[in-house]
Amino acid sequence: MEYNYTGCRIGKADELTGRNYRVYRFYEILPGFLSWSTIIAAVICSWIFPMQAAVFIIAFDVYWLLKTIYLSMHLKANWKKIKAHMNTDWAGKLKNYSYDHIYHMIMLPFYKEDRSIIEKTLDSLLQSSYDKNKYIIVLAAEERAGAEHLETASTMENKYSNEFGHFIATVHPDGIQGELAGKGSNIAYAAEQARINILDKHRIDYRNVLVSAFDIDTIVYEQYFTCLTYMMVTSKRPYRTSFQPVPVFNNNIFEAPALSRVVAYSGTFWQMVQQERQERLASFSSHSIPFSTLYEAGYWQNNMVSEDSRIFWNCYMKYNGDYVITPMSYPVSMDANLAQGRLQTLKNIYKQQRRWSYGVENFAYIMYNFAKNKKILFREKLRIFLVNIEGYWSLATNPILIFILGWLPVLIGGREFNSSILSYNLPYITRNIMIITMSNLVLSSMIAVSLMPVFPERKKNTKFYHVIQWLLVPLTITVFGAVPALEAQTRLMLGRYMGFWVTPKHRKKKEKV
Amino acid sequence: MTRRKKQIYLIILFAVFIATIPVIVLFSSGYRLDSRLKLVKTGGIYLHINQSGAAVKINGKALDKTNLLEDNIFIQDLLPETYYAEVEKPGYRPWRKNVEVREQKVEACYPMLIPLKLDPEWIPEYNAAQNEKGEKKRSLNKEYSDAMELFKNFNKPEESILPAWTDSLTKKLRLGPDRKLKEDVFLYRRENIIFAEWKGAYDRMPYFLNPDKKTCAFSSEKKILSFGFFPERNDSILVLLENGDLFAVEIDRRFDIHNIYRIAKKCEKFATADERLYFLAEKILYRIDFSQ
Repeated sequence: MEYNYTGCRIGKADELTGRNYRVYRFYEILPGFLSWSTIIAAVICSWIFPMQAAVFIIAFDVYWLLKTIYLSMHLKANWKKIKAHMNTDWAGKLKNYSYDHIYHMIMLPFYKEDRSIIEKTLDSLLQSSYDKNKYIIVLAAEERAGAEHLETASTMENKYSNEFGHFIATVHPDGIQGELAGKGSNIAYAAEQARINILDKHRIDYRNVLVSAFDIDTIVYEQYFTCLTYMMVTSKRPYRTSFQPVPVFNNNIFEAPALSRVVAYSGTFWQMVQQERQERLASFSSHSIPFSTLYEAGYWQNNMVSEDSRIFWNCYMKYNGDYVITPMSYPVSMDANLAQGRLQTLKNIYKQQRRWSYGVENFAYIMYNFAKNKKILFREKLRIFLVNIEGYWSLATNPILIFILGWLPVLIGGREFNSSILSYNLPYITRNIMIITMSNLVLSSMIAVSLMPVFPERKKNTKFYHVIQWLLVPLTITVFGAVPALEAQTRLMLGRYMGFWVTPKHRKKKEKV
Repeated sequence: MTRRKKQIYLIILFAVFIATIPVIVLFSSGYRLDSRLKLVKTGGIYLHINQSGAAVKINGKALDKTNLLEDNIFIQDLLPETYYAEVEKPGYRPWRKNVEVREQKVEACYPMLIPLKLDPEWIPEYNAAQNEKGEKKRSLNKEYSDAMELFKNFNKPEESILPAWTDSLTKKLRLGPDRKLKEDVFLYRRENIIFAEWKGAYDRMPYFLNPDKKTCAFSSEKKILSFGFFPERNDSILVLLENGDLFAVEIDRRFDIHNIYRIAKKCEKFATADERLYFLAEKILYRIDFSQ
C-alpha cells in the first residue's frame, strides 16, 4: 500500500481507529513503560539482588562519566565553532554568491506577551545586517488572547510595517475544529495567510523564501540572517534541510535566579552538543526552513504540542528519509524563565521542561510512519528508533538512577549485603565517580560565562555566583530534567495528553544583549 | 567534530569502559593484588566513632584519623585474619579490640570513647541567694529536684509520643527495672546476667548484636543493682554493681576484648537524660555531661 504522508500527520492515537489506533497507542506507551520499568526494576533489584544492583550502579556511574566526557568534547567543539562563526564576516563570504533573490519570512507568534518584548524582537531585526527589504515579518496573534493583544498586533504593524519589506499581522481564530491551541496551529495559520497575502500577491517564488519560526522573545545577532543566507545558498540540497541555530537563553540572564540560569544553559549546552551530532539533530524552538519545503510538508502540525521538532519529522517522512538538519552553530538569544516570584519561576521552569519533554509524542509519530513508509531503509529506521528511545529513556531515568537510586542497595539491600565490602564501597565509589563527572562542570561554567552578555556594572560582583551555580546541576537535572520528563512520558502513556503551555515572558529591566 | 574523530573517541571511551568496569567492581568487592601479583580477597573494618580527632591504629600502625567531615573510619585492604584495632583520642580512654576480618566482609565496630577525667559536677539541693535586703536565702535547685524525679521514673518505660505499635511492644516486653528498650535494642536481666536482643526488623539489626541468639552483654560475680542504656547510645550500657561501682559497658561481645570503663565509685543510683548522667554517691548528686 502506498504511503500517504498527509493521512499520517497524526497528533495523538485518538485520531485513529482499529489496528492503527492500537499501534499508535503502543508507541505512545513504550517510552513511559521503559522508563518506569527501569526505575521499578532498580528498586526491586536493589532489594532482592543488591550485589548485582550494586555492580550495575558502578557500571552505570562509569558509563555516565564517560558519556559526560564524550558529550563535553562535542560541547567544546561546538563552542569553538560558535566563536568562529560569530567572528566570521558572513557578508564578505556572501559576496561570491547570488543571494538577492532570498527572502526571509520571520514568524513571530505571540499570545499575551508584553508590547516591549515584541518591540525588542523587532528592533533586533532592524539592527541585523541583512537587507530589511528582504524581510517578511509575520506577527501572529491569537484571537483567544483578547482584544487588547490584537490591538498590540495592529499597533506593531503600524509602527514597523514601513521598516521592513513586508509586514503582516495575522489573527489565528479561536476554536478551530481539530486544532490544539498553541504555537503550531498559530504559525501554520499565519504562514498560510502570508503565502496568500504576500508571496502570491507579490509573486515571490516559494523556493526563494526561507522561513524562520521564532518565539516572540527571539533576539537575533547582527549577522544571523547573513549567516543563514550563506548556509542556504551554499547548501548542496537547500530544499531538503532545515537550519538550526543555537538557542541561548540569555536575554534576561542577569535577572533570572540561579536555578533558572542553570536550567537555561543546560538546554543551550544540549543543543550545542546536538549541533555536533547532526545525525541525531531535530529542529528545536527557533529554526528556519525553506517555504517551498514547508508548504509541501503542509506547514507545522496544528494538532499537537511539539511543532518545532515535529516539522523536522514531517519533512523527514514527506521526503522518505531524505531530510536533514543543518546545524548553524550560530546563536539566537531567548529568555530564560523568569516570573514575578521565585516560586512561580520554579513552577514555570518545571512546566517548560515538561512541555519540551513532551517531545516524546514524536516517537509514536515516527514509529507509526515508519510502519507505513516502506521507502525508508530498515537500517535507518532501526537507528532512529534506538537514538530516540535511548534519548527519552536516559532523560527520564538516568539522573534518578545516578542521584537517587544509586544508594538504594545500601538502604534496602538487607543485612547480608550491608556487611559486604561492596556495600561499604558503593557510596565511596559512586561519590568519587560523581565528583570526577562534576568536574566537567568547570567547562560548562566557562562556556556559560563566555556566552553571556557583558555584565552590567551593578551585576559585576555576581560573577562568582555564575560560576558556582553549576553545583546545582544534580538538582536541576533531576527535579527539572528527569521528573518533568517522566511526568510527560507518564501522561502520554496513560493517554492523558498535554495541551500547549505558553511560557510566560517576563523581564525586569532592559539589558544590553 | 568530524565523524572520524567521533569514532576514535567512541572507541577509546568504550575501551576505557570495558577495561575499567571489572577493575572497579573487583576493587569494590575487596579483591587486591598481593606482592606476588596474585588476586586475593580482602575485607575491612568500619569504625562508627562519631567523634572528630580520633586516631585509628591497626596492629599498632596509625592508619587514619576522624575529622569534622568524616567522623567514621573505613579501613579496607585487610587480608582475612585477626587485627588489633585501637581508637585513641587525646583526653579519652582508648578503645581496643581484636577484630576478625573475613573475606569480602566488613566488621562494623562501635568504639565507645569515654573521657579520662570525667569531672562529675556536684548538683546542690539548694541554691544560695541573697534577697534585696542582703539576707541569705536558699531556694530549691530545680535541676536537683528534676534529677530526683528522674531517679523515680528511670525504670519506667518512656512514654511514647507516637503510636500504638510501640505501646504494644512496650507492653509485650513488660519493661521495667530489669527490662529496658532503646531504638529496638532490648536489654533484660536474668539472674546476674544482662542480655541484649534485637526487636526490630532483621535487616536493620546492628552488628554488635548476635543475629542467631541473645547477646550476653554483661555478667558479674558481684550483684548487679541496676542497669540502663548509656546516654544517647544503644550499643553501650551503664551497670551499677553492689559495691557502688558504676560501669560503662559496650554490648558488643563478638571479639575477645570487652571494653568496660568505670565511671563512678560509691554510686547508689543513677539515671540518664539526653547526654547527661546523674548519680548519687554518698547522698550527693553528681552530673556528668557526655556531650562535652
